[in-house]
Amino acid sequence: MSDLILETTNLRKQYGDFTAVDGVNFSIPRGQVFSLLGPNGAGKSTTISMLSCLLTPSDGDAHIDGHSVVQAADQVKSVIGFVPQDLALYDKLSAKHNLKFWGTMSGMSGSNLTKKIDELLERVELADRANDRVETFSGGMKRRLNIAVGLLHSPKLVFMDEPTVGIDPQSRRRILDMVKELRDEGMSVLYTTHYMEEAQELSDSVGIIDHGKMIAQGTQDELRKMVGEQDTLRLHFDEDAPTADLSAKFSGLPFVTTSSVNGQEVVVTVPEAAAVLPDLLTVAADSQQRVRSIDMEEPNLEAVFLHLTGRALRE
Amino acid sequence: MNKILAIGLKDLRLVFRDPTALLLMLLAPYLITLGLGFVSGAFEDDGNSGISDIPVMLIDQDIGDLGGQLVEVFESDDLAELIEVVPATGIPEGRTLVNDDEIAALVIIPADFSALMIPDSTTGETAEGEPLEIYRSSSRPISVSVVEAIVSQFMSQVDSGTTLVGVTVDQLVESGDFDAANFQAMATDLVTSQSESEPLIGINANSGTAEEEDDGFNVLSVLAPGMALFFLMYTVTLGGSSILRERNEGTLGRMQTTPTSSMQILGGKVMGIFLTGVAQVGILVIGSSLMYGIKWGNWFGVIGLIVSAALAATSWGLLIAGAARTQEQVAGIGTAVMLMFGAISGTFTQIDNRFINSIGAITPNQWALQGFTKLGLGQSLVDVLPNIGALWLMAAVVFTIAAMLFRSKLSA
Repeated sequence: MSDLILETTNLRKQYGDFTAVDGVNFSIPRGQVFSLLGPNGAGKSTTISMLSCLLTPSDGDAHIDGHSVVQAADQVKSVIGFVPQDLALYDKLSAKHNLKFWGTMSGMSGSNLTKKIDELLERVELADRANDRVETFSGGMKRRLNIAVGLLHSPKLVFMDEPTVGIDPQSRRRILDMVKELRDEGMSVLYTTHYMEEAQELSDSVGIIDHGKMIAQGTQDELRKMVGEQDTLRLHFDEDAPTADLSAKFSGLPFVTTSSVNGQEVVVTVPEAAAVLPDLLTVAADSQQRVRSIDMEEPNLEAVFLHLTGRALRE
Repeated sequence: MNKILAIGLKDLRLVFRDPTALLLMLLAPYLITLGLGFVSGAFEDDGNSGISDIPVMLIDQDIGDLGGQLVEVFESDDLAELIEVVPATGIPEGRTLVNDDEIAALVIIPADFSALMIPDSTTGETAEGEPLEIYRSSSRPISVSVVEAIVSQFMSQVDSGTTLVGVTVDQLVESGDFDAANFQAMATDLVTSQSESEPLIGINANSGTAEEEDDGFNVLSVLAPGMALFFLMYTVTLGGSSILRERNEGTLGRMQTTPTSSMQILGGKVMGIFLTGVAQVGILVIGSSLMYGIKWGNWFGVIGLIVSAALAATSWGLLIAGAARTQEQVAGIGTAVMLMFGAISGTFTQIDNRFINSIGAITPNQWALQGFTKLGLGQSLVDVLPNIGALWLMAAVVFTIAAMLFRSKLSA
């Protein structure tokens, strides 16, 4: 048995002239969380759709637990769990009926299914709402049930496509903790997100995807080394401030590695924040712009993305 | 099979938790039937089941004996309360009476009626042509359907007699006892005896007494199935559109990431639409029996027709969903088809146009409605087997086309 639960080879998806995923190569060791990090429209969901046999690759292949997604879709489907970005539940059915239906679709039945349903309802903290219709649930509760459906048949590899989009902080915290629990139990997870903090907290390794291409991958330490020991400074300006002009002026300063705009923020990477900060404030003052707040961050995945693309992750 | 059943039962459960769907599936047909029942006088407390003394004129020009027998049937004591035979004055006068809505139908029995029905003595074959003309009143669809049912039953029994003649002749020829000179008389005797061997039509006319009232013909027995079948088309359209809705809502995609084949998914959706259709018509049949006292007739026939109609309608629902690209298109096309099927099948009014009646044969409504009318008039499961067969054939053809459309849809 290979140490890798997933390995892709030049995976590509083409729609006419548009290339959604362009020859992506990456692998996930068993029992690890791999985060696919990238802005909206980068190709994360298309990649997951190909890996879960929803879309046929235009070229290339991927092997999951040794089975090709192109040649052996049925075997692949029996070892994966899929948690789609959009909730895929039946609102007019209860949580229990939803789990029972999806369990049957995954080939489960009888006492095994009943036991697993009870276990998962406890896990996602919905046991007391098991018989309530999903339409009465909050967004966070629906997200948790959506995840429970993907875990029903104890898959070897779970695809979680932006599972925390649009929910309250408490539910988000619960989901992140659950992903870590699953990893601790030996399950492999492919997690897509455009939240850098989530990728940093969960991942054993990270792939950064942009415009359909995997532009970097490795452990978080490996990625941080790509930008060197750079600090990130976030300078927040008034709403009408010409942030693009300010960013251009900051770029001209010595020791500024990169400068980019993120809304009313100008994000600057520098070797040593404390040394450069006075110069940045002087430029702002000369431009008659007031700096409302400043955040200083150690090197992180945001800086890596900025370094590689020249853009902030959420631009 | 487990997965197909799970998808089907899930869809059934979802439909019965949708208040709007329930309103249109169950309440609307009940209310419309109720309204039409009041209009037709079915609820009048006069001991009358809602239809009686249907005025009919019969013009018997037959030079043989069979025409006279048909007239005797209409004038028989069994049909005395249901049918009122108007004295024959002439074809033009009869047509005028129909046009003026003075009588429900004019039955014209041609001179060669017996020759058309009874095999020729030399060739052993019957002549070709239209044996009967029924000139119908378009404003009395129910009355006309009763007249047609009586004529149809008579013709059916004469046909059985004709077949008997053929078999008898074959046997005589084989044995060498065939006497061509006496053939015509023998054939007439055989056909006549066959048509007289059993009650010509199983209608129990209402005698007005309390004990017998329950067995009477009730106009709601025609209205209720018409409405049930009309709204069955709504249900199957709703079921068909659920495939597109599941695609939009991501549940279809999620199903496709499980070890479930496209054919299992399609089979499950078909099962769901079919079960919903059977449940809908079944509830309407049982409910209308309890609420309105409708006698649907032979229960084996009723169950056979419900299942067959639901199957044929399901195939149409799938075809509509397969041809459409969006849920909105399904709703639009589905409503148009539902109304068109209702109109050309004679659900709302009798269509006095042979061409439209022929087109109506593509609708499950027409075949099922004819079947329910037969059963309501006292006929048996055997009598509705042609209707059941036609519905299954329709289901097979339409489903094949729909499946081809859906294969590409599910793999897209």
